[in-house]
Amino acid sequence: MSQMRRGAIEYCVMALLRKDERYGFELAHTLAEADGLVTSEGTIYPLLSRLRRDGMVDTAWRESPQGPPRRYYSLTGDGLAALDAFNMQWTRFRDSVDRLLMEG
Amino acid sequence: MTPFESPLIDDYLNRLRAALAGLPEARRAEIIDAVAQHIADARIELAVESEAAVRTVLDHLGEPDDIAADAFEVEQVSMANGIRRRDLLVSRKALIVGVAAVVLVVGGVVSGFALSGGPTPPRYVPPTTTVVSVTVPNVVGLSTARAYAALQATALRVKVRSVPATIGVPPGSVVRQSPPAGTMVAAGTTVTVTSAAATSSLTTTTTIAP
Repeated sequence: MSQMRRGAIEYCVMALLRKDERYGFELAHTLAEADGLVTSEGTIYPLLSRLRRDGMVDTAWRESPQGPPRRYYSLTGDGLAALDAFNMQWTRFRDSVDRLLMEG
Repeated sequence: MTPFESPLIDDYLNRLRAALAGLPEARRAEIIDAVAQHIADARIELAVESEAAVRTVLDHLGEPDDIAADAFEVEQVSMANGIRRRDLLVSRKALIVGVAAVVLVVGGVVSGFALSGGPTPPRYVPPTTTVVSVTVPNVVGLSTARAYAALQATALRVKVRSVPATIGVPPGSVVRQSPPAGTMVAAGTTVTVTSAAATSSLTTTTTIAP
């Protein structure tokens, strides 16, 4: 279960980057606010590091209005393709599980 | 606003650095930098001005040992995917190096739903998969990272238990393993390693499900 959970969280992170690039604190904070998803904000950093290494996200330094430059994360073309594929599979998976849970 | 100096933050980052020992240096630095920046951003955005508020930011981040456990697991998940793809290659290698490898053909295995798979729908796969018997290597005394690497290289899954640091035991090293070294098991079997935490007084368990 934990690997499935981790897999799902990975795609949640990628989904948060679908529209716009974001910086780490923003991502961690948003994810931690979603009920039952992650227990601690720090969890996201090993994941982001792996997503970057796998070519799913890219990073760039941007000036910050308040402090030193920040590392922003954005979704790559590969990341977007993987996210779309996951969306389709997830919907089927979720519907099937729901159906079996409800009807037995 | 100039944030005040807080020894809590240095202490936290030092604990994280110690807990991540054994990870490739670039990955370790990347995670530490990102966490350090998270703390800096949290202090700016949440207008953190007291020691108690810093403590809350660090509490929300989680224990350094837990972040490190995630980092090692994430590493293991990517490598496990590689091992699955290279099943046959692994078994051939095992034979060459003299590890007693018995290849059995087992029928009727249904493919699981792969979360990270491509766009093809889940379906039955042809009923052939290989089961490889491997000998559990000794990992007691190794760092958690080296234990991971050794067990992965033997096509075994790893469950890490973290116990409080003990005097006389190097932090982050494996103190126990189950099953013990020398046991013959099927490839993909989970080996539980118990490692001494760097500084945490918490006992935590993390599992990688098959």
